[in-house]
Amino acid sequence: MVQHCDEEVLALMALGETVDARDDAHVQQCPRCQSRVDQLAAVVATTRSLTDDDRPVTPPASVWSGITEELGLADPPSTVVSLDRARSRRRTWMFAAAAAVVGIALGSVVTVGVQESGTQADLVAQASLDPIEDSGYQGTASVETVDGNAVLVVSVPDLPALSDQYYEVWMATPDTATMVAIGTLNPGQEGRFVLPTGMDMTSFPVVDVSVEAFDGDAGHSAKSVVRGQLAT
Amino acid sequence: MKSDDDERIQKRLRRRYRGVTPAGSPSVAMDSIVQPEGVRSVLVDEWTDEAIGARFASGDERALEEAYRRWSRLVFTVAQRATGSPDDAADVTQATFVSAWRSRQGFDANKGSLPAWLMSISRRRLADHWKERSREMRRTDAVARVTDDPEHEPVDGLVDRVLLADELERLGEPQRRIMELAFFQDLTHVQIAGVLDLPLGTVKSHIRRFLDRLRTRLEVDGAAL
Repeated sequence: MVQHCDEEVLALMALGETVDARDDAHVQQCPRCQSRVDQLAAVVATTRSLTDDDRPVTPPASVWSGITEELGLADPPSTVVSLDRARSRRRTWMFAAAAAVVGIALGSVVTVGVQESGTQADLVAQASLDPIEDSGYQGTASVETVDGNAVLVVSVPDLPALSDQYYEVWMATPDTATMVAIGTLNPGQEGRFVLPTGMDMTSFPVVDVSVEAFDGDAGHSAKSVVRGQLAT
Repeated sequence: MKSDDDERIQKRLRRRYRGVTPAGSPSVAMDSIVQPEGVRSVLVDEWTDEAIGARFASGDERALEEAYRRWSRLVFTVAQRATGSPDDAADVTQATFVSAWRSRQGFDANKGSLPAWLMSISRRRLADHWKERSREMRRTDAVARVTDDPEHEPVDGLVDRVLLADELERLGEPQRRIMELAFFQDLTHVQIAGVLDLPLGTVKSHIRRFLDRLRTRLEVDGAAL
Protein backbone atom coordinates (compact mmCIF):
# COMPACT_ATOMS: atom_id res chain seq x y z
CA MET A 1 0.00 0.00 0.00
CA VAL A 2 1.22 3.46 -0.82
CA GLN A 3 2.21 5.54 2.15
CA HIS A 4 0.88 9.03 1.40
CA CYS A 5 2.42 12.15 2.87
CA ASP A 6 1.16 13.54 6.14
CA GLU A 7 -1.39 16.35 5.63
CA GLU A 8 0.81 18.67 7.69
CA VAL A 9 3.71 18.09 5.33
CA LEU A 10 1.51 18.83 2.31
CA ALA A 11 0.37 22.09 3.94
CA LEU A 12 3.98 23.14 4.52
CA MET A 13 4.85 22.35 0.91
CA ALA A 14 1.93 24.50 -0.21
CA LEU A 15 3.47 27.37 1.76
CA GLY A 16 6.71 26.82 -0.12
CA GLU A 17 8.71 25.18 2.64
CA THR A 18 11.40 22.67 1.84
CA VAL A 19 10.49 19.26 3.20
CA ASP A 20 12.12 15.91 3.71
CA ALA A 21 13.55 14.47 0.44
CA ARG A 22 11.43 11.34 0.80
CA ASP A 23 8.20 13.38 1.06
CA ASP A 24 9.30 15.47 -1.86
CA ALA A 25 9.97 12.40 -4.00
CA HIS A 26 6.62 10.89 -3.06
CA VAL A 27 4.66 13.99 -4.06
CA GLN A 28 6.50 14.08 -7.39
CA GLN A 29 5.02 10.74 -8.38
CA CYS A 30 1.72 10.66 -6.44
CA PRO A 31 -1.20 12.39 -8.22
CA ARG A 32 -3.30 12.44 -5.03
CA CYS A 33 -0.70 14.22 -2.88
CA GLN A 34 0.33 16.46 -5.77
CA SER A 35 -3.23 17.61 -6.25
CA ARG A 36 -3.62 18.33 -2.51
CA VAL A 37 -0.51 20.51 -2.61
CA ASP A 38 -1.72 22.28 -5.76
CA GLN A 39 -5.12 23.07 -4.22
CA LEU A 40 -3.60 24.45 -1.04
CA ALA A 41 -0.89 26.32 -2.93
CA ALA A 42 -3.57 28.12 -4.95
CA VAL A 43 -5.23 29.21 -1.70
CA VAL A 44 -1.86 30.34 -0.33
CA ALA A 45 -1.07 32.32 -3.48
CA THR A 46 -4.38 34.19 -3.38
CA THR A 47 -4.05 34.83 0.34
CA ARG A 48 -0.55 36.22 -0.10
CA SER A 49 -1.81 38.59 -2.78
CA LEU A 50 -4.52 40.11 -0.56
CA THR A 51 -4.46 43.83 -0.03
CA ASP A 52 -6.32 46.23 2.24
CA ASP A 53 -8.97 46.58 -0.48
CA ASP A 54 -9.99 42.96 0.05
CA ARG A 55 -10.94 43.48 3.69
CA PRO A 56 -14.65 42.99 4.22
CA VAL A 57 -16.36 46.32 4.75
CA THR A 58 -19.57 46.71 6.72
CA PRO A 59 -22.35 48.29 4.66
CA PRO A 60 -23.90 51.49 6.01
CA ALA A 61 -26.81 50.99 8.45
CA SER A 62 -29.17 52.46 5.86
CA VAL A 63 -28.89 49.24 3.82
CA TRP A 64 -30.46 47.08 6.51
CA SER A 65 -33.20 49.60 7.24
CA GLY A 66 -33.83 49.83 3.48
CA ILE A 67 -34.24 46.05 3.32
CA THR A 68 -36.70 45.85 6.22
CA GLU A 69 -38.63 48.79 4.80
CA GLU A 70 -38.84 47.35 1.31
CA LEU A 71 -39.91 43.95 2.66
CA GLY A 72 -42.33 45.47 5.16
CA LEU A 73 -40.66 43.75 8.12
CA ALA A 74 -40.75 45.04 11.67
CA ASP A 75 -37.70 47.15 12.41
CA PRO A 76 -34.96 44.84 13.58
CA PRO A 77 -33.27 44.64 16.95
CA SER A 78 -29.98 46.44 17.21
CA THR A 79 -27.80 43.33 17.23
CA VAL A 80 -26.98 43.74 13.57
CA VAL A 81 -25.25 47.01 14.12
CA SER A 82 -23.62 46.40 17.47
CA LEU A 83 -21.92 43.14 16.50
CA ASP A 84 -20.55 44.43 13.26
CA ARG A 85 -19.22 47.51 14.95
CA ALA A 86 -17.50 45.38 17.55
CA ARG A 87 -15.93 43.23 14.86
CA SER A 88 -14.75 46.15 12.81
CA ARG A 89 -12.87 47.47 15.81
CA ARG A 90 -10.81 44.37 16.36
CA ARG A 91 -7.12 44.47 15.65
CA THR A 92 -6.73 44.41 11.94
CA TRP A 93 -4.77 41.87 10.00
CA MET A 94 -1.44 42.86 8.61
CA PHE A 95 -1.45 42.17 4.91
CA ALA A 96 2.03 43.59 4.53
CA ALA A 97 3.78 41.14 2.28
CA ALA A 98 7.23 39.84 3.09
CA ALA A 99 8.68 42.83 4.86
CA ALA A 100 12.16 41.91 5.88
CA VAL A 101 13.20 44.97 7.82
CA VAL A 102 11.78 45.63 11.24
CA GLY A 103 11.43 49.25 12.14
CA ILE A 104 13.27 49.27 15.36
CA ALA A 105 15.08 52.48 16.00
CA LEU A 106 16.31 51.64 19.44
CA GLY A 107 19.99 51.63 20.35
CA SER A 108 22.51 48.88 20.55
CA VAL A 109 21.83 45.22 20.23
CA VAL A 110 22.93 42.67 22.78
CA THR A 111 22.79 38.99 22.04
CA VAL A 112 20.97 37.36 24.91
CA GLY A 113 20.92 33.77 23.94
CA VAL A 114 20.06 31.02 21.60
CA GLN A 115 16.57 29.66 21.78
CA GLU A 116 15.47 26.06 21.66
CA SER A 117 14.87 26.10 17.95
CA GLY A 118 18.33 27.38 17.24
CA THR A 119 17.23 30.86 16.23
CA GLN A 120 19.02 33.71 17.86
CA ALA A 121 17.34 36.35 19.98
CA ASP A 122 18.80 39.83 20.34
CA LEU A 123 17.69 42.08 23.17
CA VAL A 124 17.01 45.61 22.01
CA ALA A 125 15.10 47.21 24.87
CA GLN A 126 13.69 46.42 28.26
CA ALA A 127 11.46 47.86 30.96
CA SER A 128 10.34 47.07 34.45
CA LEU A 129 6.57 47.19 34.77
CA ASP A 130 5.46 48.93 37.93
CA PRO A 131 2.15 48.68 39.76
CA ILE A 132 -0.59 51.14 38.83
CA GLU A 133 -2.73 52.49 41.65
CA ASP A 134 -1.29 50.08 44.20
CA SER A 135 -2.27 47.02 42.19
CA GLY A 136 0.65 45.35 43.90
CA TYR A 137 1.82 43.53 40.77
CA GLN A 138 5.17 43.88 39.14
CA GLY A 139 6.64 42.60 35.94
CA THR A 140 9.11 42.97 33.13
CA ALA A 141 8.94 43.68 29.44
CA SER A 142 11.60 43.36 26.78
CA VAL A 143 11.86 43.63 23.04
CA GLU A 144 14.00 41.11 21.19
CA THR A 145 14.65 40.62 17.54
CA VAL A 146 14.20 37.03 16.47
CA ASP A 147 14.94 36.27 12.83
CA GLY A 148 14.38 39.89 11.91
CA ASN A 149 11.09 40.19 13.81
CA ALA A 150 10.64 42.44 16.81
CA VAL A 151 9.14 40.39 19.63
CA LEU A 152 7.72 41.94 22.79
CA VAL A 153 8.05 39.63 25.79
CA VAL A 154 5.90 40.48 28.80
CA SER A 155 5.94 38.76 32.15
CA VAL A 156 3.88 39.68 35.21
CA PRO A 157 4.35 36.64 37.44
CA ASP A 158 1.74 37.15 40.14
CA LEU A 159 -1.30 38.16 38.09
CA PRO A 160 -4.36 36.36 39.46
CA ALA A 161 -6.73 34.48 37.16
CA LEU A 162 -9.89 36.43 36.39
CA SER A 163 -13.27 34.81 36.03
CA ASP A 164 -14.94 36.96 33.39
CA GLN A 165 -12.24 39.42 32.42
CA TYR A 166 -8.81 39.12 30.85
CA TYR A 167 -5.48 40.93 30.58
CA GLU A 168 -4.43 42.80 27.49
CA VAL A 169 -1.00 44.16 26.58
CA TRP A 170 -0.71 47.60 24.98
CA MET A 171 2.07 49.81 23.65
CA ALA A 172 1.50 53.51 24.03
CA THR A 173 2.94 56.93 23.42
CA PRO A 174 4.67 58.47 26.47
CA ASP A 175 1.51 60.47 27.30
CA THR A 176 -0.57 57.25 26.79
CA ALA A 177 -2.89 59.24 24.53
CA THR A 178 -2.41 56.77 21.67
CA MET A 179 -2.34 53.05 22.35
CA VAL A 180 -1.84 50.01 20.16
CA ALA A 181 -3.43 46.74 21.31
CA ILE A 182 -0.72 44.07 21.20
CA GLY A 183 -2.42 40.95 22.53
CA THR A 184 -3.79 38.89 25.37
CA LEU A 185 -1.72 37.98 28.42
CA ASN A 186 -2.82 34.91 30.34
CA PRO A 187 -2.04 34.76 34.07
CA GLY A 188 0.90 32.57 34.93
CA GLN A 189 2.29 32.73 31.41
CA GLU A 190 4.89 34.77 29.65
CA GLY A 191 3.38 36.70 26.74
CA ARG A 192 5.32 36.80 23.46
CA PHE A 193 4.04 39.13 20.74
CA VAL A 194 5.50 39.74 17.31
CA LEU A 195 5.24 43.49 16.77
CA PRO A 196 3.82 44.87 13.55
CA THR A 197 6.47 45.29 10.92
CA GLY A 198 7.32 48.95 10.55
CA MET A 199 6.00 49.95 13.96
CA ASP A 200 8.22 52.70 15.30
CA MET A 201 8.86 51.65 18.85
CA THR A 202 10.38 54.95 19.82
CA SER A 203 6.90 56.44 19.35
CA PHE A 204 5.29 53.76 21.51
CA PRO A 205 7.78 53.08 24.29
CA VAL A 206 5.22 52.54 27.06
CA VAL A 207 4.16 48.95 27.80
CA ASP A 208 0.86 48.68 29.66
CA VAL A 209 -1.21 45.74 30.89
CA SER A 210 -4.91 46.33 31.44
CA VAL A 211 -7.93 44.38 32.65
CA GLU A 212 -10.55 44.08 29.94
CA ALA A 213 -14.12 42.82 29.94
CA PHE A 214 -15.52 40.49 27.27
CA ASP A 215 -17.71 43.28 25.99
CA GLY A 216 -16.63 43.52 22.37
CA ASP A 217 -15.23 46.98 23.02
CA ALA A 218 -11.73 47.01 21.58
CA GLY A 219 -10.74 50.21 23.38
CA HIS A 220 -8.60 50.36 26.54
CA SER A 221 -10.69 49.87 29.69
CA ALA A 222 -8.65 52.50 31.60
CA LYS A 223 -8.04 49.80 34.23
CA SER A 224 -4.29 49.22 34.10
CA VAL A 225 -2.46 46.94 36.48
CA VAL A 226 1.18 47.56 35.51
CA ARG A 227 3.03 49.93 33.23
CA GLY A 228 6.61 50.77 32.31
CA GLN A 229 8.71 52.49 29.67
CA LEU A 230 11.12 50.64 27.42
CA ALA A 231 14.71 51.81 27.44
CA THR A 232 17.75 50.56 25.59
CA MET B 1 -30.30 42.59 38.21
CA LYS B 2 -31.28 39.55 36.21
CA SER B 3 -31.27 41.53 32.99
CA ASP B 4 -27.79 42.86 33.76
CA ASP B 5 -26.56 39.32 34.14
CA ASP B 6 -28.25 38.31 30.93
CA GLU B 7 -26.64 41.18 29.10
CA ARG B 8 -23.24 40.30 30.50
CA ILE B 9 -23.57 36.65 29.49
CA GLN B 10 -24.88 37.68 26.14
CA LYS B 11 -21.91 39.92 25.49
CA ARG B 12 -19.46 37.27 26.54
CA LEU B 13 -21.01 34.61 24.37
CA ARG B 14 -21.32 36.93 21.44
CA ARG B 15 -17.66 37.56 21.59
CA ARG B 16 -16.92 33.90 21.98
CA TYR B 17 -19.10 32.78 19.15
CA ARG B 18 -18.58 35.64 16.80
CA GLY B 19 -17.66 34.21 13.47
CA VAL B 20 -16.64 30.77 14.64
CA THR B 21 -19.16 28.76 12.69
CA PRO B 22 -17.30 27.83 9.55
CA ALA B 23 -19.26 26.06 6.90
CA GLY B 24 -19.28 22.38 7.48
CA SER B 25 -19.17 22.56 11.26
CA PRO B 26 -21.49 20.10 12.95
CA SER B 27 -25.00 21.38 13.05
CA VAL B 28 -26.61 22.28 16.34
CA ALA B 29 -29.89 20.64 17.20
CA MET B 30 -31.80 23.89 17.37
CA ASP B 31 -34.87 22.53 19.04
CA SER B 32 -32.89 21.16 21.92
CA ILE B 33 -31.84 24.65 22.97
CA VAL B 34 -33.90 26.18 25.71
CA GLN B 35 -34.38 29.81 24.91
CA PRO B 36 -34.53 32.15 27.90
CA GLU B 37 -35.88 35.61 27.34
CA GLY B 38 -33.45 38.29 26.38
CA VAL B 39 -30.64 36.13 25.03
CA ARG B 40 -32.03 35.41 21.60
CA SER B 41 -29.04 36.73 19.73
CA VAL B 42 -26.71 34.42 21.62
CA LEU B 43 -28.59 31.47 20.22
CA VAL B 44 -28.67 33.00 16.78
CA ASP B 45 -24.89 33.33 17.01
CA GLU B 46 -24.67 29.61 17.63
CA TRP B 47 -26.63 28.73 14.53
CA THR B 48 -24.56 26.95 11.97
CA ASP B 49 -24.61 28.26 8.43
CA GLU B 50 -26.73 25.23 7.52
CA ALA B 51 -29.26 25.98 10.26
CA ILE B 52 -29.60 29.54 9.00
CA GLY B 53 -30.14 28.29 5.47
CA ALA B 54 -32.94 25.96 6.56
CA ARG B 55 -34.63 28.66 8.63
CA PHE B 56 -34.18 31.22 5.88
CA ALA B 57 -35.91 28.96 3.36
CA SER B 58 -38.77 28.35 5.76
CA GLY B 59 -39.36 32.10 6.22
CA ASP B 60 -37.88 32.74 9.69
CA GLU B 61 -37.14 36.48 9.77
CA ARG B 62 -34.43 36.00 12.38
CA ALA B 63 -32.55 33.94 9.80
CA LEU B 64 -32.73 36.85 7.36
CA GLU B 65 -31.30 39.14 10.02
CA GLU B 66 -28.56 36.66 10.86
CA ALA B 67 -27.79 36.02 7.19
CA TYR B 68 -27.44 39.76 6.77
CA ARG B 69 -25.18 39.99 9.81
CA ARG B 70 -22.87 37.22 8.56
CA TRP B 71 -22.78 37.86 4.83
CA SER B 72 -23.75 41.46 4.06
CA ARG B 73 -20.07 42.42 4.39
CA LEU B 74 -19.18 39.89 1.70
CA VAL B 75 -21.96 41.03 -0.65
CA PHE B 76 -21.26 44.71 -0.03
CA THR B 77 -17.49 44.49 -0.34
CA VAL B 78 -17.59 42.51 -3.58
CA ALA B 79 -20.16 44.95 -5.00
CA GLN B 80 -18.03 47.89 -3.97
CA ARG B 81 -14.97 46.37 -5.59
CA ALA B 82 -16.95 45.59 -8.73
CA THR B 83 -18.73 48.93 -9.08
CA GLY B 84 -16.13 51.18 -7.48
CA SER B 85 -18.87 53.05 -5.68
CA PRO B 86 -20.09 52.68 -2.07
CA ASP B 87 -23.51 54.07 -3.04
CA ASP B 88 -23.97 51.60 -5.87
CA ALA B 89 -22.70 48.82 -3.63
CA ALA B 90 -25.32 49.76 -1.00
CA ASP B 91 -28.06 49.56 -3.68
CA VAL B 92 -26.82 46.20 -4.94
CA THR B 93 -26.61 44.83 -1.38
CA GLN B 94 -30.13 45.94 -0.56
CA ALA B 95 -31.47 44.51 -3.84
CA THR B 96 -29.63 41.23 -3.18
CA PHE B 97 -31.15 40.60 0.25
CA VAL B 98 -34.59 41.76 -0.88
CA SER B 99 -34.61 39.35 -3.85
CA ALA B 100 -33.11 36.56 -1.74
CA TRP B 101 -35.90 36.90 0.80
CA ARG B 102 -38.62 37.11 -1.81
CA SER B 103 -37.34 34.03 -3.61
CA ARG B 104 -36.32 32.16 -0.44
CA GLN B 105 -38.29 29.06 -1.41
CA GLY B 106 -35.90 28.69 -4.31
CA PHE B 107 -32.97 28.16 -1.98
CA ASP B 108 -31.93 24.51 -2.12
CA ALA B 109 -29.40 23.50 0.51
CA ASN B 110 -28.50 20.44 -1.55
CA LYS B 111 -27.14 22.64 -4.31
CA GLY B 112 -24.94 24.87 -2.19
CA SER B 113 -24.52 27.02 0.90
CA LEU B 114 -26.67 30.06 1.69
CA PRO B 115 -23.76 32.52 1.20
CA ALA B 116 -22.96 30.92 -2.18
CA TRP B 117 -26.62 31.36 -3.13
CA LEU B 118 -26.64 34.96 -1.91
CA MET B 119 -23.57 35.65 -4.03
CA SER B 120 -25.23 34.16 -7.11
CA ILE B 121 -28.15 36.54 -6.54
CA SER B 122 -25.81 39.45 -6.03
CA ARG B 123 -24.12 38.64 -9.37
CA ARG B 124 -27.53 39.04 -11.02
CA ARG B 125 -28.21 42.30 -9.18
CA LEU B 126 -24.76 43.51 -10.28
CA ALA B 127 -25.67 42.59 -13.86
CA ASP B 128 -28.92 44.60 -13.48
CA HIS B 129 -26.88 47.47 -12.18
CA TRP B 130 -24.55 47.44 -15.18
CA LYS B 131 -27.40 47.18 -17.64
CA GLU B 132 -29.09 50.16 -16.01
CA ARG B 133 -25.81 52.04 -16.02
CA SER B 134 -25.19 51.40 -19.72
CA ARG B 135 -28.73 52.51 -20.59
CA GLU B 136 -28.07 55.76 -18.74
CA MET B 137 -24.78 56.16 -20.55
CA ARG B 138 -26.39 55.65 -23.93
CA ARG B 139 -29.02 58.25 -23.13
CA THR B 140 -26.48 60.81 -22.07
CA ASP B 141 -23.57 59.94 -24.30
CA ALA B 142 -23.98 58.69 -27.84
CA VAL B 143 -20.49 57.22 -27.96
CA ALA B 144 -20.58 55.47 -24.62
CA ARG B 145 -18.34 52.45 -24.71
CA VAL B 146 -19.85 50.63 -21.79
CA THR B 147 -20.98 47.21 -22.90
CA ASP B 148 -24.08 45.33 -21.91
CA ASP B 149 -21.98 42.39 -20.92
CA PRO B 150 -22.61 41.71 -17.23
CA GLU B 151 -19.55 39.45 -17.09
CA HIS B 152 -17.05 42.20 -17.63
CA GLU B 153 -15.97 42.20 -14.01
CA PRO B 154 -14.19 39.14 -12.61
CA VAL B 155 -16.61 38.74 -9.72
CA ASP B 156 -15.56 35.17 -8.88
CA GLY B 157 -12.01 36.25 -8.16
CA LEU B 158 -13.27 39.09 -5.97
CA VAL B 159 -15.50 36.74 -3.99
CA ASP B 160 -12.57 34.46 -3.23
CA ARG B 161 -10.40 37.33 -2.13
CA VAL B 162 -12.98 38.80 0.22
CA LEU B 163 -13.83 35.34 1.61
CA LEU B 164 -10.16 34.71 2.39
CA ALA B 165 -9.69 38.12 3.99
CA ASP B 166 -12.83 37.51 6.06
CA GLU B 167 -11.56 34.12 7.23
CA LEU B 168 -8.24 35.68 8.27
CA GLU B 169 -9.96 38.39 10.27
CA ARG B 170 -11.94 35.78 12.19
CA LEU B 171 -8.82 34.08 13.50
CA GLY B 172 -8.11 34.12 17.21
CA GLU B 173 -4.72 33.83 18.86
CA PRO B 174 -2.30 32.18 18.53
CA GLN B 175 -3.48 31.10 15.07
CA ARG B 176 -3.54 34.69 13.84
CA ARG B 177 0.07 35.35 14.74
CA ILE B 178 1.15 32.01 13.32
CA MET B 179 -0.58 32.62 10.02
CA GLU B 180 0.60 36.23 9.78
CA LEU B 181 4.16 35.02 10.02
CA ALA B 182 3.63 32.11 7.62
CA PHE B 183 1.77 34.08 4.95
CA PHE B 184 3.12 37.57 5.09
CA GLN B 185 6.56 37.33 6.66
CA ASP B 186 7.43 34.08 4.88
CA LEU B 187 8.80 32.43 7.98
CA THR B 188 9.15 28.66 8.06
CA HIS B 189 7.26 26.71 10.71
CA VAL B 190 10.54 26.18 12.55
CA GLN B 191 11.17 29.93 12.64
CA ILE B 192 7.58 30.60 13.74
CA ALA B 193 7.91 28.12 16.58
CA GLY B 194 11.08 29.93 17.65
CA VAL B 195 9.62 33.41 17.45
CA LEU B 196 6.43 32.53 19.32
CA ASP B 197 8.06 29.98 21.60
CA LEU B 198 5.50 27.33 20.66
CA PRO B 199 6.04 23.60 20.09
CA LEU B 200 6.71 22.69 16.45
CA GLY B 201 3.80 20.27 16.40
CA THR B 202 1.37 22.98 17.50
CA VAL B 203 2.51 25.32 14.76
CA LYS B 204 2.30 22.61 12.11
CA SER B 205 -1.16 21.51 13.12
CA HIS B 206 -2.50 25.09 13.20
CA ILE B 207 -1.12 25.67 9.71
CA ARG B 208 -2.59 22.44 8.36
CA ARG B 209 -6.03 23.10 9.89
CA PHE B 210 -6.21 26.70 8.78
CA LEU B 211 -5.19 26.04 5.18
CA ASP B 212 -7.78 23.32 5.06
CA ARG B 213 -10.41 25.69 6.42
CA LEU B 214 -9.57 28.33 3.81
CA ARG B 215 -9.83 25.74 1.05
CA THR B 216 -13.20 24.51 2.35
CA ARG B 217 -14.55 28.04 2.68
CA LEU B 218 -13.70 28.76 -0.97
CA GLU B 219 -15.21 25.49 -2.08
CA VAL B 220 -18.43 25.88 -0.11
CA ASP B 221 -19.11 29.62 -0.04
CA GLY B 222 -17.13 30.67 -3.10
CA ALA B 223 -18.80 28.15 -5.38
CA ALA B 224 -20.57 29.65 -8.38
CA LEU B 225 -24.15 28.32 -8.28
